[in-house]
Amino acid sequence: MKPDMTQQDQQSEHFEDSVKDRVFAALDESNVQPRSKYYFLCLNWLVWGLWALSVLFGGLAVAVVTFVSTHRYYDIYEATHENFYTFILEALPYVWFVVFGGMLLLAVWQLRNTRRGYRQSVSVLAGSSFVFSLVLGGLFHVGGFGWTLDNWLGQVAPMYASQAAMERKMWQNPNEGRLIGRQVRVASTSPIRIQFTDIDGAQWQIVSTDLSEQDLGFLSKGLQVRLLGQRTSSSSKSFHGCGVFPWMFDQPTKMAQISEERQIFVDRMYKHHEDAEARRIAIEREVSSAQEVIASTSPCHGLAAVRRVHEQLHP
Amino acid sequence: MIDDAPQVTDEELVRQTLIDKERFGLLMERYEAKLGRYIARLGVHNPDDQLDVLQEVFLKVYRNLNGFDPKLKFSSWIYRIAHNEAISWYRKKNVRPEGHLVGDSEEIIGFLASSTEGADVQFDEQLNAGVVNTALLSLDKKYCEVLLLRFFEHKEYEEISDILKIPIGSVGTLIHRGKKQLASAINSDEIRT
Repeated sequence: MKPDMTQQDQQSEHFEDSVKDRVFAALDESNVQPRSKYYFLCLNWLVWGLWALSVLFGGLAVAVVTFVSTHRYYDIYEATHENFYTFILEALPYVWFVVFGGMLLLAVWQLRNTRRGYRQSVSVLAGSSFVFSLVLGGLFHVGGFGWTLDNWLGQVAPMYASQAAMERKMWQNPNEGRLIGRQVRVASTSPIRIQFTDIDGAQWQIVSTDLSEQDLGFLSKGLQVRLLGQRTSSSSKSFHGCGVFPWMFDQPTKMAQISEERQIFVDRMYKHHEDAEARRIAIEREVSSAQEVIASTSPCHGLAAVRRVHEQLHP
Repeated sequence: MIDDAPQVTDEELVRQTLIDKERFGLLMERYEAKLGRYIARLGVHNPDDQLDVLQEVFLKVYRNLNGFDPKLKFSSWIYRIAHNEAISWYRKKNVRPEGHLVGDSEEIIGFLASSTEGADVQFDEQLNAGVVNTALLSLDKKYCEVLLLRFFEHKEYEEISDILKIPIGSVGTLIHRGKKQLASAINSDEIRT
């Protein structure tokens, strides 16, 4: 042994005598063979496959988030919420945000486990997976997968409330002036009274004096519609109709259709306000104080939605 | 076996080992001393334990030869296996890494004189190796590991990134912070006394 050898050098010399022999003996004894290269290839593909799945599910979550965010009562949100902020707070699909976040975490974890994924910072790994999911989600949304997934989950998972189910729950509320259902028949023609069945099976008499030609057209098709108005008394099944809007959750709907629907709604609500104003001016010409009279001329003028739309257009 | 092909790269030896097992002996000869030292620095101080860990390292290397990514340096790959094996050894034994001589006086002086990283951290060059050793071992594990690899195993940033499986950008940060923490540990009364 050299006199200037350190303790570590002495240990190294000790190892050289025995490590190699011990390793070879162990290899021979258990007949150890190198694992097949296909094993590692499969392992690598498995990690990338799981990453792809995470991004795919993240993309689906994005598609549902986009679908739900853009469809939840958006077209006529003034009919159900005081303002846009209260609407958006309730409308945001938090569960899907959590799903998306979870998928993103999984994707980052998978990427870190790829052969050289650890070399990148977490922000790069998360950013790339985020962008992939976002692009994929956008494509899915355009292809209508958001609606499909939401609707399918609503049917197969009892715990999951689909957008259509939530919309039904929101709109089937006659005491709040909202009904979903379809016209059964026209009960009388002068004035026009319509027999209407809601989704719970209840029969309603609809007073249609404030409904437009377009509203009556929607009703006459016999398709499921949303009816906005006012219950005329709590004891009878009579409803004063102020607007009819198509039920839009039977199939994927394009943003252009929703925007068009929204514009029709805003125009209708504004018209109710203008009609009331016109009636007030006409009556004022004849009577000096007519405010009480106006109130009884049309229940539609008193709708919260009419007030909200008017406040938006004339803040 | 004597390394009869010093010009042959590790990567070539890996390829040859997959055809002829005996060539693995050359790889073991090249790395047993280096890895033995590294394992000791990580806290496996008993020579018999070191031997056990080293044997397990080489067995794992042999078993996983086909999993070696030739785009990495072989030394980084084998150091990573050694690192993981040392950690799993003291987890298995349910012990903490014990104090061990991280480096001899010459290495410690070299470490103190290095100014490539953390140049703003000043060390008193009159410090003795024992104080630095104690201070190094008192650091957070993540700092101690990068300082060991950088200054005592003389690894480049990319190699450290591959061994510890951390982003390259984090290596510099950890070294800088580690040196700062080391300076403060050396200056603490607890270590000096």
